[in-house]
Amino acid sequence: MHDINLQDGDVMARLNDLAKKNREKLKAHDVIAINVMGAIGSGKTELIKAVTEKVKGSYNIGAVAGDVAGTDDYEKFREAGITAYNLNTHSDCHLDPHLVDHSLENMPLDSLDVLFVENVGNLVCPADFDLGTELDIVVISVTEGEDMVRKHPKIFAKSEIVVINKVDLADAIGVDPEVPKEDYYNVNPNGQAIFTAVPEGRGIDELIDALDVFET
Amino acid sequence: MHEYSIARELVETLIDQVDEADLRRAEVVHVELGELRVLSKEALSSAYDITTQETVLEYSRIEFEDVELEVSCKECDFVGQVNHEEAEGLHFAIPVLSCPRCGGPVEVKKGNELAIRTLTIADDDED
Repeated sequence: MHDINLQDGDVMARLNDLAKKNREKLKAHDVIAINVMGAIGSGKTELIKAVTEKVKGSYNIGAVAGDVAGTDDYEKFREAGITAYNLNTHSDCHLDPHLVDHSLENMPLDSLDVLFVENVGNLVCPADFDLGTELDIVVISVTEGEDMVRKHPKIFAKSEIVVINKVDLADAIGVDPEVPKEDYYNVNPNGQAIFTAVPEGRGIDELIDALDVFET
Repeated sequence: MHEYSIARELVETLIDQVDEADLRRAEVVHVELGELRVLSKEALSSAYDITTQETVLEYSRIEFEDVELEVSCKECDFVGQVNHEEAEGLHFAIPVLSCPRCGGPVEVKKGNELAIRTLTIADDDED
């Protein structure tokens, strides 16, 4: 037996090249893209809508609705006046840069300032794929329980902004939102955890500040 | 379960860069796996086996080499490995993404690897 070396053994090279092209395309059109990852049902769509509502007077916002199937989130974005593209993965549990490239081809990039790319609800798989976005954030909510960070620690260790949503429901379901916040700071002491509650508008301004892409 | 997507990329990487004659004699694909990758080794091995069924790579298998996280601090001159969180409730030690010396934010130097280091192939007289 003998070993041979590959010229470039990076398994992610093809996908990372696509992510780089997405990044260059977004930059050429002066669009800042934000990859919104998070748990199923954590409120990613409503958060994007809430942020948009606050900034739409000054910024043109677009959204890619990434889901395994269906047009529900896409319809919600459209109803909120957000320029949207529906991206169904059919079976894949994550978005990849190839799918995002298709989305960009179908978005009026010249008329957008910020593009939210809502990933498929999943706290594992999306973490391994660079989409070419400027910023990645993770959303969880108290309704998933106190242990979300402990159960999926790596995506949180890698994320500089974590939103802990639906804190208005914390007392009703007996979950202490400080627990996932503390767990997050244990693995990412320099990150930023933000409590939000969309119906009462709590934390939305703080999230907008943390994203650091909107001048307020 | 993104291991099937990754297995397809792995096979494509091999097909792109290795002669078919060598692929047919491939025995072990040595894969570097960074600590920050959110991949199951068992699932990736299984996905690779299924993806390569009835192909030239059918008789090859993956072996993993772990790459520990290494960072450089953005606030002091520290370069090296980080501390790990081993709190109750965590099933394995999780790297803490901050400088172990000053607590500052860090840049990841190693830990995102997902790369084929070498391919072990059988010599002709071993066929």
